[in-house]
Amino acid sequence: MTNCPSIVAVEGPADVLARARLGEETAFEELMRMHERQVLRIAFRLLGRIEDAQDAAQEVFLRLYRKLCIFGSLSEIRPWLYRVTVNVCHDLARKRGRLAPELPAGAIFVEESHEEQISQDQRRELLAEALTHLPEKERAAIVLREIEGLDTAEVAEILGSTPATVRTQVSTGRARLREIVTRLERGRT
Amino acid sequence: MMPDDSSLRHLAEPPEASYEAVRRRVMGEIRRRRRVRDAARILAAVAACVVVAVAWMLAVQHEAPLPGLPVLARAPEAPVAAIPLHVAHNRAKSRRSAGSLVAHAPAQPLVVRMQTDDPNVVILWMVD
Repeated sequence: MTNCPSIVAVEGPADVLARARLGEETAFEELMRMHERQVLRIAFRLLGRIEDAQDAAQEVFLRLYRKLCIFGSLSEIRPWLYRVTVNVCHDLARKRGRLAPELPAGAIFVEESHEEQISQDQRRELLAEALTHLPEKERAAIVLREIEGLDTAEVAEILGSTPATVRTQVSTGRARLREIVTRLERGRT
Repeated sequence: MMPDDSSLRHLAEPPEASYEAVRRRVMGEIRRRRRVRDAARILAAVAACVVVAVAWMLAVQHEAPLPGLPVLARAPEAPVAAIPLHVAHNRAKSRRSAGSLVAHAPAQPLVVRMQTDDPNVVILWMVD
């Protein structure tokens, strides 16, 4: 499938990358399962709509399939996926000319009373909506640094900038997010 | 409300079904592309076979001899016999000129054997 000339034999059943490179569909599916949460979650945060996020994730995994040859080990895939996911999401948002305005409230994993639950739901909904109003770079920096929990250097590498720039983007993004949330709250009351 | 770390990290997650949907879409697309690629390879192989076959046929046609015209055996011109035909009328004279040939076999007819291109065809010319 990917015609990798260097692969002549699979080292063992655990070598999912090598098996995927040899064209084994189940191995590639396994690779997808290992990274699908990371990809789809970031795409969802960046695009705001699950339909768009699914389109982006599909494109990311198809690119991964085509580029399997470039990876020497599994550990190289994760940062590559972050970078490609951010790029694909930016391209998709530009192509579709919108940032999704609506974000459905999803699953909540914290035990809370009904009132607290509603309040948390509304808060998350506001925050998710506010996130989609941030400029592209700031949103990506916030998602990767604050939501995905990557360190500043990793985020800088993924976004192709410097750690100082990322720190500035995160800081500015947070301030802007606060303003947007306040504005949205006022709009609803 | 202040967007702190915890609230950001507990934003809505994509629905569980969406992971399966993405996986299905990706694998479907991979299989579709693989089918297209295989079909293209088969087409290319068939086209290559056709080209080779046509080239071979053309080469064979050029090498084969053209259907020739029927070979006609042409007899050579009749040789001019250097034998005097007036032996009987002028025997005395011919004795001197023709020599012993006429003198020793006066009753034998003169036979001229003519070979043609065809070994099966021989023309015998008898002079009485």
